[in-house]
Amino acid sequence: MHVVSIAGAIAISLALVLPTALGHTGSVGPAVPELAEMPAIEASIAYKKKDAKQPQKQFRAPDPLVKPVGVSHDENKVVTPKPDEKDPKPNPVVDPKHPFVPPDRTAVDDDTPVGDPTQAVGAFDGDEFGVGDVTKGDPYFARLSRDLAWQPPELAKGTGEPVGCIQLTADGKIPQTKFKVDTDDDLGSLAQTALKGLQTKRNADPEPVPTHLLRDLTTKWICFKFTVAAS
Amino acid sequence: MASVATVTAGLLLGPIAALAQPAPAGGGVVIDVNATKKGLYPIALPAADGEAGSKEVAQVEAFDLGVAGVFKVLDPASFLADAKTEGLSIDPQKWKDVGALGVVKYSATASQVEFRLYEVSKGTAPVLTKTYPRKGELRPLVHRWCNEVVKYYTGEAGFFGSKIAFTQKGKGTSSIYAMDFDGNGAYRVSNNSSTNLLPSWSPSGQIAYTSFMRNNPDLYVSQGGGRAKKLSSQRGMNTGASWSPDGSKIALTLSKDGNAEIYVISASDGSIIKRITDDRAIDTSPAWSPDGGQLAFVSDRNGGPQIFVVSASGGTPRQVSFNGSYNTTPAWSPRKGKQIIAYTTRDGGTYDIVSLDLQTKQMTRITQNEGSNEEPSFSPNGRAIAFARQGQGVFLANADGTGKATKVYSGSATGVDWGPAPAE
Repeated sequence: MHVVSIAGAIAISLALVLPTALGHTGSVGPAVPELAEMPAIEASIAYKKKDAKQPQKQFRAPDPLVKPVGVSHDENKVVTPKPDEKDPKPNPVVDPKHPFVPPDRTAVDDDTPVGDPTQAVGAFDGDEFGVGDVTKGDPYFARLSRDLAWQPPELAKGTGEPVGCIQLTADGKIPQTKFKVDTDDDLGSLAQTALKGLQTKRNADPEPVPTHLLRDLTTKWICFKFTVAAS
Repeated sequence: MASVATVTAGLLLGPIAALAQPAPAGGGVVIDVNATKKGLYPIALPAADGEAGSKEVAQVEAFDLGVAGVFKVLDPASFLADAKTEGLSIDPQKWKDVGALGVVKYSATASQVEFRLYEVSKGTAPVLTKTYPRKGELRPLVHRWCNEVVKYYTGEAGFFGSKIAFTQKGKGTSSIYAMDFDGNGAYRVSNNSSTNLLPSWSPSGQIAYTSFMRNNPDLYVSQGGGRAKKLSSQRGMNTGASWSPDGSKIALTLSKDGNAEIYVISASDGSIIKRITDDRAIDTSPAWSPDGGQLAFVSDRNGGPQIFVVSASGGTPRQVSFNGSYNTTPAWSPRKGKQIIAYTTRDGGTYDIVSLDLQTKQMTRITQNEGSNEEPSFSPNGRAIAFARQGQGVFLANADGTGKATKVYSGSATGVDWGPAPAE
């Protein structure tokens, strides 16, 4: 019985070892080329570059020092010492009882009532007339002139050239009008009507004055001279 | 601010332009707003309170000056002055404040009517005063006053009291009618039951018209109520008469030779004086220029009907209308120094009235988007235009294209022609 077992073990061992020992050639993987047949890949080796010298700017020797004319060169002059600096900023007053309590910032000295924020650029000066060149070609001013609607009728009489002025506020309203030159003819009456019409229209539907025109349009009278073109 | 600046507001609309101007006395930069005189003169016509016939005076006055072609009658609701307090005088500032340049006041009593015209800028003194004794109707009296007002402002005679003739269509017939310019007192001129059309006033107040009463379209002249006189009865058409300004000749269309051509005939006996056109096209609707030197007419020689102008002594016509493809019924404006022709133009599916200034070539619309309008005729002073609105009646409009047309006669009217100025 033992002999049979030993013989079986030997047979199995031989079956496992023998093919390896004899060189198995029945592999299914790709064939590995021989080393000599492999392609060579050249690889360079990094090396430390020598220090390159940048082009250097050529300097020349500095000019000899020339003292400016008109300045005292008196080396013996006595220098007047500067006046003493102002006293340093005084220390803030601190309540000795409550040194770390912040001061009450709600208290104000100004007792004037607080109003709406304004774009105040100067008060209206009732003695100044005109608007200057700033209005030249400006669309705001063009619309203002359009709303003036100056159109004397065919039968209007008179040759006068009335000059009527308006005060314009920043919000585009016209609180008052004034005639600088009045004429006792139809044109004078028509100019009054035109100015009043402009005032009514702009007060009902104001167009705020643009920022760049604020100073010029709201601080003085804006004046129009009403003239008739030759037909 | 004693400087002088050039201020140009290039974006100003309409005729307003802002230019550089020297500052006025006292200094300051000003903006020169400059415009040409154009449009209507604002006038206030306050009604007198509680006097005999006051209401009628106010109504006639408002109508007359409203269609005069030069005034804008202000709405009485805007007036600030109290009629009772003011009476026949005015407080100029109160009228200035409502935009009036002129104010008319009146006082009507049983025996007379006193009128006063004020120019607001001239203060409290009237610039024109007239007193008329009351005899018969008030309306003719108010017309006379309104003519004075127009003459004061324009230097031209007014047309209040003039008449308008037109063709009134009936069932299968049409008759010639005449009426006061304001639509009052319409009466029939032609006294036959045939077809009558295209009336034309002579400078002296006769009416020429074409009638089929003898079957052929012949030219007749009404004798002011009596039997019409046959003036031209050439074979074929004798239509579209237009009197020369001196009343001695009539231009009309004759087709005696087969084709419609323009001729000039004697107004006294109908004899042919001259053949004006000679073209294979249809030439119709002649109209004399106010100086008698030219004739406008319609011809389709260049395709559709267009307005042409030719010398009254003949020659080569020149086309003057070029808008659209259909322009007819020309009428010359009688205004001195102007060369303006009004005519009917087809605009889409309807017809409108336009006027053309031959010197400036500027065209002005008289009607737009209000029915179908045709056959314009100028008032004697050229300030207004009468025309027919299809199916509605006769209307008046300002000749400068301003304002709204006013209906003066309701009915199926065509062939409108405005008569001469009333005798002063």
